Amino acid sequence: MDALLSVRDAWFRYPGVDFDVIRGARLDVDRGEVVAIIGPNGCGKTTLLFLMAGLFKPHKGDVLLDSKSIYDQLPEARRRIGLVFQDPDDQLFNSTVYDEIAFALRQLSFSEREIDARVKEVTKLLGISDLLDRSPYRLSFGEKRMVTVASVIVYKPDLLLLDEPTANLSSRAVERIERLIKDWREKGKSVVVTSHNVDFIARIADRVFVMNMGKIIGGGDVRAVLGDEDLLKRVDLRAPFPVRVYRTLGGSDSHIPLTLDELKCSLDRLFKNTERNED
Amino acid sequence: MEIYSCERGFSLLNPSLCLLIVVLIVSAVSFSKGIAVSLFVLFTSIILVFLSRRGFWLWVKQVFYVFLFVLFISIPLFFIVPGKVLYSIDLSLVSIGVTDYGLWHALVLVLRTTAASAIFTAVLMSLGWRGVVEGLIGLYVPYDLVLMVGFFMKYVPLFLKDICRMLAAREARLFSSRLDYVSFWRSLISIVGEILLRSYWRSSKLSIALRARGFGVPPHRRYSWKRISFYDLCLVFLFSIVILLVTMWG
Repeated sequence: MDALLSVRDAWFRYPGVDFDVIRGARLDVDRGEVVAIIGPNGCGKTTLLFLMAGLFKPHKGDVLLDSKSIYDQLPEARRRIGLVFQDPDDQLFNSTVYDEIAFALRQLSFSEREIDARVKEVTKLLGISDLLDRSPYRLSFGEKRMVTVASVIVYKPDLLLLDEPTANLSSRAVERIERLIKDWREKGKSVVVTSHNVDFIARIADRVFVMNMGKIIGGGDVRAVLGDEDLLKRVDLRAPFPVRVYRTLGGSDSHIPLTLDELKCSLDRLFKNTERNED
Repeated sequence: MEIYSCERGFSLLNPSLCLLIVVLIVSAVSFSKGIAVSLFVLFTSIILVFLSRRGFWLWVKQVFYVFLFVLFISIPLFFIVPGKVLYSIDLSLVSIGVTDYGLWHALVLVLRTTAASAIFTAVLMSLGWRGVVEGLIGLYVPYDLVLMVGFFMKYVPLFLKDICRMLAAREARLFSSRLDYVSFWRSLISIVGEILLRSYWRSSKLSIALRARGFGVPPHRRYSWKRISFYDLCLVFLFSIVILLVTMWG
């Protein structure tokens, strides 16, 4: 089956800059999977997301949506892709939360009745129903983040691009985002997430790509990538907490745990093996 | 500006009608010749601020600043308008006199400017920026202009916060025991360029955000006309009185 979205050897540079910010990026996003992009600050993660959303055009290479160049499908292709910005202040521009969430639906000429139903549905899902009449600029960072997410998922895009969705959020808000991503995947839709939070990535991603200086230097199954401490060290990241605990206690590479539940199982197994060996 | 950009306006007013009437009243006051209209509008502004239950003293402060500023720039009028000299000042080389007509002209200028500013600020406080945006939509002002007012509403507090953060960051690294004006101004000046760069950066991000969710269609204009209330009728009545006063006394 063809990938939903593919980045094919994309090279991109900002106008007036004499170096490429993205250098030969290549990745696929399949239907119903969560792909994470990790890397240090300034490595080009956000720019890559803008390329994937068809907002920037690479000077070399292409971005394919359903095997066709996304740039030949614009602006219709944008209805299938939702982008949540890293800084909510960059994304919000309407005078009320309700108008902000309804903006995309109004652009798509939905009836006011349907808009109302959808807005209420997503705000209930994200626990922000009480904010509808508020001005988005006067909310807390976490509330703003939820509004930006709501303003995108309301038009039910096939691919959700989340730029650092957990940055500056409380653990409760992170849990809510995590649940939302998992729900999205269960509906057969795809999600691309950029983040520094490897523990969060470990809990939600199916595949991970590692970026450094505009290049994708590694990628693959989440367990293989987040278990590769040398690769993570190259981009100034540490392995997730369960991986580090497991390795410190001498666990083998065959059952690397990524979540706390997995860690518990792995440790049980590890201790049982140790007891058996001692006996 | 940040203080006036209240979240919820005085919901009893119809924003479009209110905005239209206030623009007409401000125009009428600005071109009035006597003091009756200005005094009436000033008095009405006070009532409006009381009714809207917003910060009365904030409004007074703002109006007082306008009053002081206009008073300052009207000083030349005391001397340059011909009339009966009430008081003469001898400046060795030349002697200048305060004339009765000069004083009258200055008084009219100060009063009508203060009154125009007072009623506009009072309505702005009553409606809130959101009300202003809704009012503009209802008046069928070109939508690009409405969007710009909306962005203004968004970016004023945002840039104020940015400036405060930048100032705090600079002050935190000013290690001299006495903070003199020179070092303070130096730190203030260094903010200007950074704010310009940030505004460019933010505007480029805003353009991307609009493209991402705009789907290639011009922004959708939506307005639901709010019913005319008793308070709106009061405003219309007020406007009629202003027009009557302008017609009678100029």
